[in-house]
Amino acid sequence: MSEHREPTVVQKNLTRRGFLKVATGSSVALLLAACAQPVAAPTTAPAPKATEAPKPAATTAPAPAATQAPKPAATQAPAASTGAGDFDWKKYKGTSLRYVGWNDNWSQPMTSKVPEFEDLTGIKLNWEQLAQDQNRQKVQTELTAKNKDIDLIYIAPHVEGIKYYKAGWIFPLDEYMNNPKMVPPDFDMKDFAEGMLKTCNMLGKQLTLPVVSEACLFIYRKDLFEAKGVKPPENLLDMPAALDKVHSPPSMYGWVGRGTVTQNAVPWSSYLYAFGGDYLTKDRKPDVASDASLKSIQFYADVARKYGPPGMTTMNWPEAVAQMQSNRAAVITDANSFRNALDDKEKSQVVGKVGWAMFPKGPVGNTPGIWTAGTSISALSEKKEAAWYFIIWSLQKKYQTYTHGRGCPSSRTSVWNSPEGQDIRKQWPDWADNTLKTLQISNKGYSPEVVSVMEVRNAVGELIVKAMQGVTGDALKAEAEKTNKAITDIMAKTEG
Amino acid sequence: MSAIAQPRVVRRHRSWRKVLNTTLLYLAVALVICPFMFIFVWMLLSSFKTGVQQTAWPPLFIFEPTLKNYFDVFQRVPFVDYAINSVIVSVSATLLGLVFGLPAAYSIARWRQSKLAIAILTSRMVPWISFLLPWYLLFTRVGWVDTYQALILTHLIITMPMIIWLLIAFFEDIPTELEEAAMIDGCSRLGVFLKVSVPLAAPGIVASSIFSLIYSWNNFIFALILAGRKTMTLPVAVYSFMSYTEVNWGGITAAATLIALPVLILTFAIQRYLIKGLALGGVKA
Amino acid sequence: MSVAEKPVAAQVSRGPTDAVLSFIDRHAQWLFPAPAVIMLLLVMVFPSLYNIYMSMQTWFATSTAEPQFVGLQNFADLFGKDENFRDSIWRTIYFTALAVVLELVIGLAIALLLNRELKGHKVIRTLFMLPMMATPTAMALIWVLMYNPTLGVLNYLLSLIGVPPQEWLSNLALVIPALAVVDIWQYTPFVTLLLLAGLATIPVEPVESAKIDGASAWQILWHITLPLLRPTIVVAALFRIIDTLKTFDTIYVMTQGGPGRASQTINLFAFQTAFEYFHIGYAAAVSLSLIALVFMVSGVLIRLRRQEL
Repeated sequence: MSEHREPTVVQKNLTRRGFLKVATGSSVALLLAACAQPVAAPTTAPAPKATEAPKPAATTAPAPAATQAPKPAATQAPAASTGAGDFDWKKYKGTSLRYVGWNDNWSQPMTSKVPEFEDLTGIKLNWEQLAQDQNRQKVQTELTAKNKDIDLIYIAPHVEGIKYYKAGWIFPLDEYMNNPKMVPPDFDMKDFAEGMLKTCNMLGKQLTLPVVSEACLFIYRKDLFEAKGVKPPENLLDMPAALDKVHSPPSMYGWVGRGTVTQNAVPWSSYLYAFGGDYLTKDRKPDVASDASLKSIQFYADVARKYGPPGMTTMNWPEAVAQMQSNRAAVITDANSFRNALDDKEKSQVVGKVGWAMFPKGPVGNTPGIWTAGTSISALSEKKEAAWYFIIWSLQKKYQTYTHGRGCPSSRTSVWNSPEGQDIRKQWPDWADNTLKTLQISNKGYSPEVVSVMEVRNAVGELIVKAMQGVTGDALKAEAEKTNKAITDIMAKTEG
Repeated sequence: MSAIAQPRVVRRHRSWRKVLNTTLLYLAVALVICPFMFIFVWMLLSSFKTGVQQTAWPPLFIFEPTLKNYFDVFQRVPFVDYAINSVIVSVSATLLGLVFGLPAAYSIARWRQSKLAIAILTSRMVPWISFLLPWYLLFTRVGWVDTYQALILTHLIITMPMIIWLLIAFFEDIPTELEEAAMIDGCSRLGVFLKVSVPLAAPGIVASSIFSLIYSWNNFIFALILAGRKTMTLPVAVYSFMSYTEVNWGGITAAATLIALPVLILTFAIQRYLIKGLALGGVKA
Repeated sequence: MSVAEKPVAAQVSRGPTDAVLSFIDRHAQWLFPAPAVIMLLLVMVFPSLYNIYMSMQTWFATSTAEPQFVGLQNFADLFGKDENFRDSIWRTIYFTALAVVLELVIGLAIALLLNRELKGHKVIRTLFMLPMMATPTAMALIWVLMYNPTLGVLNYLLSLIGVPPQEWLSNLALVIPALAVVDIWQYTPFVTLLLLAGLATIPVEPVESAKIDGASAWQILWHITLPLLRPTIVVAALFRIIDTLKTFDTIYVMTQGGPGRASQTINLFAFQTAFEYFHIGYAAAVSLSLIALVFMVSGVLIRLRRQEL
């Protein structure tokens, strides 16, 4: 047993860490390259096109404009692609798919495009969108029960990837990706930021394709900050002083964030890294009782206690974002993909008033957390090909452009470089620039690199909640030691 | 004391006091009922509010109502499908509970089978989670997760003991003379049971069926794990509304109203049986 | 007596159906309950045994590894090492005690108030039944809305009488009382209705004679009514304690055991171990411990009741 597991741990180690590093480095280079291109020829259709797409980008793809499309015939709507190549959108018509997904910033805008998918392919899609925690419970319950009914699931490779793959639930995409008959000719696999693509590749398998390039930013109310003459803090330690100026409860709270056990570690991780800490030591021992970690927990908890609205300890991101939307909070340090929620006139009262700054530098580190997610095929599904059609459909340039426009930063280089991408960049320069900058400086995910991510993250989450409830000093250190022990136990149980 | 002194005056005085006392009494009753009813009132009010009215401070008691939330519930989720699932499961579980429970309750009442009665009571004490876990594992093996039979079987855990427990008391109330008379007339035990005892216990059967129907309808934990998309029942559906996109209180309160409404109406419709059933089932425990 | 009658009846009639009927007659005492007993064995006893078996394995249902027999190790870990479990026991007891005591006190007060000729008493009683009948999941969501610290009506109503806004479900110290309030709202009516039925069975004579002797209302209540009502009160307490120890829906919907683990009762602990971490054997051990607690408490109460009779 353990002999079997030994290598996988090592390998995973390699995969996760290595990939994240290589990954992001190159992805950023790519994205930056993309954006650095002046908007020279905005009139033509999206520049990059590569037909030898199937090979997963092994090397950094050259700047988008370099590749030429041998088959310009398929430029227009992919709907017309029946004749071109062997790819046929209608091949699986009459099938129906069940997708157990999230209610996140990619899925929400994509929902409105589902009729286009159904028209194009003749495949019916039932897309259940649940909050992450509920989704995880649902997916695990049903897949443990070997329910063949689920065809597609939404995963964050950093969180569920290894666990779900080892449980035998994820059907790797490599086979389909590398089969020209299964990829529309104008899809252009090389267009994905290589780093993000590799982040979705674990244990040597492509578990999903990235739908988003998420990064932690300092999201703030530009108008309030300007009115008070404050700038977004460059250093984390200056943040409380800045928050003081805009904090006037109960009408306006200085800061809001995720506080609930299952989620608070996500934004907190950026604070942790800023103070020079990490979830694990180099030799994979839990390290949340380190000085750096304790400082970051104390800092996060103090900010939440002092500037957060009531109910911080049960707040998940939708509630936290709602505080921003309803003009009740001035700052949230969280995902760049919240742009959709904050700049949507139907949901938000603060459209146009939100600024996107870099997550402040810490006293030691400067690596805000980054993240991606994507759709995976259930290994138990009996309609895997049709399921793949949804994935490949949803990641076409036009839909990546669409979600990018709705605030969900694309993982496709060409999208950032497209006329629409450039427009977005003009409209939200701080959002675009700081996203790219963050991706350039950071290679760290939000979550610890373990098999049972949620269990470990929840243990840390409990510790953070305790700090938010007022546990401090030596008592907090004692609690952190307990958390370390709990994580050791979890890892012993789940990693052999 | 004053009663001895001046009867006339006192009578008038008394009647005045009586009116006051009665008024105070009804006032007190109303005051006591208010908090218990307020939650329902708030649910109804909120279900007619728009999103903006929902977040208003101070909370609005008077506002221009909208039906949008109710349309939303039917348009955005397959609410009718969930309702049908709920009906299928609760009705089947109740009918099965009656089929198994009626003769057992009769037998316990007639032949004083107190050990069996205690077994039933014991089963009522066990937390559902300890049935759910093994059932989930077993259903997982045979591919029964997300099927009606799995839900109905597990809901039998709720309905059967409840029906038996409530009905024992009703059967005990039926005088044995009636049954004996029928037997002398040549009726078999089965005949007596079906033709004499069951009809006489009809109010109890109605009461226990309604109780079991409602408790099965309300059950959350079994369906939370054992139901999937095909068999999801209403309580699980309304819970998952909370995590659909943003927290949409209008939709949630409208859905909650729709789920609770049949139960509330049912409670009113058969109130006299229910109160008797509750009293008997409880006091004779 | 009726047994003596039967053979006669059987002899009068003829045919195979009658043979069956007479067989049923002779064995009615075990044939009648047999279907229910079989179902009971199938849906309850069998899974319980399976649960016991599982509690001696260590197994993650999400992993491909097979279950491993570990004997009583799970229980040793649970009671020896697991602080979260120990905390959840105290939390469960605290929640139950708080809710049930208040339900009994308030329920009794209301029962005494309603125990008289009231116009529309049927409507009143039915109204009282609504909280305990209405779907708990749906009602819990309404409570979540009312408890909301920034837009909830509860903080608003309390502000009218000068109480500062509370965080309710997010406050470590308030979350259990806040959940207990929901339980009290739901089940005080149950206690009231039960006690009303009990009050109806109390003989009038002792009360009447005490009145003639000039006893005050308090004295009558304390020395006559309550002692006579005690068996019913114990039953009400028994029912409420059993159910409150097992509370799941309300807590799961309202807090999922949070903030942190501040409202994680044993039941939630078992559920989350089972269906969030899929640590099956351990979860089985937790659920068995909950059963043990329920049985222990109800055993004490049932003994108490026996002594009374």
